[in-house]
Amino acid sequence: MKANDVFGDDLVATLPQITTIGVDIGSRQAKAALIGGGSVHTAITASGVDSQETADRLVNRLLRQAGVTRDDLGFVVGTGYGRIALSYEDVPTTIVTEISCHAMGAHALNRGTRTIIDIGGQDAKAIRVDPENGRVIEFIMNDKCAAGTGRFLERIAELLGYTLEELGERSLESGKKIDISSQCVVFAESEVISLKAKGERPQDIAAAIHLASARRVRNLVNRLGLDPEIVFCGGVSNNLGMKQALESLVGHPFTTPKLDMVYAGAVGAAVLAQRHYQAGHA
Amino acid sequence: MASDAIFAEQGLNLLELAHVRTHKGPIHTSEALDSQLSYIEETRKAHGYSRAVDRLFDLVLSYVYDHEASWQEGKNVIWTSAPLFPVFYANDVLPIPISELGRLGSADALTAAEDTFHLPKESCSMVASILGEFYLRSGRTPPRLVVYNGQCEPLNLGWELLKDQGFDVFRIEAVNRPNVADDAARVAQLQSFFIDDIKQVSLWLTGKQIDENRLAAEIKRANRIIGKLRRILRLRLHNPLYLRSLATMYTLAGLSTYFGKPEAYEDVLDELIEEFEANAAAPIPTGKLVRLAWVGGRGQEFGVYKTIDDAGGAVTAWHNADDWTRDYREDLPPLEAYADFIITGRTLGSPVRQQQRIEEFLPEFGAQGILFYGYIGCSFGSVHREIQADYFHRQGVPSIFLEGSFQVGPASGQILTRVRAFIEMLTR
Repeated sequence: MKANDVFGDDLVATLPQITTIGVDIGSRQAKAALIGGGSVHTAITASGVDSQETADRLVNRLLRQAGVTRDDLGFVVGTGYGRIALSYEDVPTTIVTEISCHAMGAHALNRGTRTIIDIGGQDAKAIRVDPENGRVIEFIMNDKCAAGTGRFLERIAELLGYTLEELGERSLESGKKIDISSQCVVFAESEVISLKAKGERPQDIAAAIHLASARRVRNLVNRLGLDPEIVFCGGVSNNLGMKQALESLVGHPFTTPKLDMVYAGAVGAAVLAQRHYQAGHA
Repeated sequence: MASDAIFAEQGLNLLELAHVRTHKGPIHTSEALDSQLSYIEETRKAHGYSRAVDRLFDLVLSYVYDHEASWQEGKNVIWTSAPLFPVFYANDVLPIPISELGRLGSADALTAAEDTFHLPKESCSMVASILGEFYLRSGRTPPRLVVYNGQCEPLNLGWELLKDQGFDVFRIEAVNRPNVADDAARVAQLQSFFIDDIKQVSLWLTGKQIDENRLAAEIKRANRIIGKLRRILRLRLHNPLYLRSLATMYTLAGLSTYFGKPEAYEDVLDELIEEFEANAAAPIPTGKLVRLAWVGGRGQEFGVYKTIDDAGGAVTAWHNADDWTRDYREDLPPLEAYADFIITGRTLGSPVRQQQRIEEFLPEFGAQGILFYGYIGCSFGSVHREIQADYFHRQGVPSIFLEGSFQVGPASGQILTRVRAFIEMLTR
């Protein structure tokens, strides 16, 4: 994709003419983005057990896609839970938290972003962003409760006999409101099994699960203070059921940038890599 | 059973655990201890330029073991959670703070608490860790405890459970003065009650009345040490990385205990002051350092302290259990001075009063944000933190909650992510 189409001319004009990569090793999926030659390239794969090996694979894939060599790489920023393990001897590299990277990524992809809801494989975050520069103003992270995270939704999809993609889509077909009372993933799973046994339709259970999970995330946003425009990032952002439940509870539609927001962290990391290069950190 | 496997790996099964009093050889709590020790060792290496820090960690690391050895030699050694260290030293009693069990506590201790005391996993990790660790150390550690019942009810229940395990427990009844505007008669009543507690515990410890002249000397020493710590914290402002965050936490922790060796601890403080005054430069460039306030428990996840330093931060304003902000009154008779210090502390310890002190020290220590630290499952601390965080949020001071476990081990990646992100945010 052309960088101007994805980021807009104003941001692209501020970037140095150098190739950088952002690598976001999440708990479930590893994502990477390359910015260079006026284009943006992305790649995704399962995180695997060896963060460095996964990152190497993504970097090589991006270099091939972009038609550049490793020598052309000016800077790499690693982020995500696997960032600690990342290192490259031949390329200047630094690590930045996924919170800062998501903020910068959402800003780069949608300049008016003020609030980010990021739901990944194992946690959920609400981040307030400075629309002037994409810096974090404030954030709240829920890493104690797995409700609504990608891993939880995978488990619920399995219980309901759906693929992860189907879970969100089918929940939109719900015609009946069911209450999920449990706040805990483990008990919510038991509740889903009970509801199935009672003969409730999987679509209705799926909608109820999304609503219950969205309530937890809405609480994060409420604590932070809602400030539109809101952008939904992370792997769960592609779940239509969760998006609809969150929009309904938060009371504001989410802005949808031109790029799949599962890449927000990686894109933010690549933009920050450009900034690091610009600042002479290479 | 999972715990069977855990202990089997370490050569100790549940059957043996049940007979741990007769178990010989090293205590099987080293698994997680190693990881805490590695943070201490790394901090020590990072301070290779400072003889004072090296000596400080000698005191830290030898504390429990030296005192357990002293007890085995027949000396009067106790475990304690009571803020009575000058009283203990005045009675020639060697105290070990129960909080040190946090450093020693391991997955084994929590398993023992779960299996022996039937504490579910979601219980407070501090209570579980303490009970489990005492159980595992039973027979090789002093069996006498002086505890302060003003901490929390789950701990108070824990002391009762330890009595059943053969521990001899003396409970100091807390004196609460939540209302700063109490009249003089009420304050006198509280002081009298607490003084009686001090006399009773002294009798229980030694069979003798406390020597008030010795207590007066200990109060002088305490004030001298508090003054030295204040000096260090203020000298450190000019060069925070000379004494990194974990080392500073331990320097302050000594205020409450002297690590069992008052003279040696005071020597370390003197040497540290000399090093600061000699303007010894830290070998690490400070760049744009983010100065922070730490409020709450000392924390057992030492990775948090390291992450703060590594991410470009430094804790400069400290508000934990080690109160360096107040002196004992030397114009009062020693028992009265001691009671006054404790009772006033209880007043200052209320969340609203404490927040005034936090706010007062933010500008002096240049703190740009606050790290509130509490233990998982501690409802008391979480209420305090909510009140204070809300207040500072309204004042425009950023803060973050860190919830840790009393069970030692490496900090979870997510806590470290939050710490790092908080510092990144403040670096703007």
